[in-house]
Amino acid sequence: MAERPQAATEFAPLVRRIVRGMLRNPHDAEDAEQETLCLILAHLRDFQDRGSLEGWVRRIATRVSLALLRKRRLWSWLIEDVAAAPVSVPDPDGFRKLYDALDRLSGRERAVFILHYQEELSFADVAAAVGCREGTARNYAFRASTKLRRLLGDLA
Amino acid sequence: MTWEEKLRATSAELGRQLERSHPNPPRRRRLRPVAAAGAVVLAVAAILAWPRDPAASIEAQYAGQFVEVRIDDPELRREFEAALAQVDKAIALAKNAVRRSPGTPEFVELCHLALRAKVRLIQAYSQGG
Repeated sequence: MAERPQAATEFAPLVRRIVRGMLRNPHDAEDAEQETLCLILAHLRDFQDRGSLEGWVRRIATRVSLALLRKRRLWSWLIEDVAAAPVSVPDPDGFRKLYDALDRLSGRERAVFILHYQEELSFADVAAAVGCREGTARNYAFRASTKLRRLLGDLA
Repeated sequence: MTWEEKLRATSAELGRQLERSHPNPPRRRRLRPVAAAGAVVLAVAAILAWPRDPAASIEAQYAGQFVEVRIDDPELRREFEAALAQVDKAIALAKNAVRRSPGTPEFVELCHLALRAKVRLIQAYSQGG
């Protein structure tokens, strides 16, 4: 654990995947990424070897994203996001469609989906990152998957 | 391949894509015009509907008339202060009545009477008692 600052930057791709998965606005995702990395660097010394460093990083990224998502949804009645220029990108793998459908999930459903389906974590790890019980994480995953099945229909 | 497996495969692909770049183009934030206008209207309505002290608006009409009276004669000053205390008590009671029942014209009139009495008292003692 002597190379902890390097470890923090080593986890940048993981943080990026989580915050970008959670936040549809690229500026928000950048803010969340920076905040997460700052928190990691600031509290790295306090990190006790009680669990994996990766799990700790994941937990911070998830919670920072959830907090920002909550804040944005709270003010969404007054402030809206407008795309600077509408673009249509080819989506042969259907991930664009999936990404748009994730907006219809609640914050926690989205977090559980990202961690379980995208990051392929076990429900125990998902629960630790989101801050809920394992059964609750399973429940969120089930609800997310049901909603997505309804929204996406047959995947490409 | 089941639907669940397809979802996992697409999610994994999404993860790889997210690592490279954000799927959405840059976005800017703006106020929703209707919501902003609604919020302003609500705020103005709340300010207008905010309960105000009905007695304060009556008292405001006499603002500037309650000047300080300088009386050198100690006996005359005591007499003035005693009278002023009585009038102030009458004003307080009238204001209280107006606050409890702002729609009763008699209480409003009573409040005006008490305040006018104070104005006259001050005028009388300002001119030498």
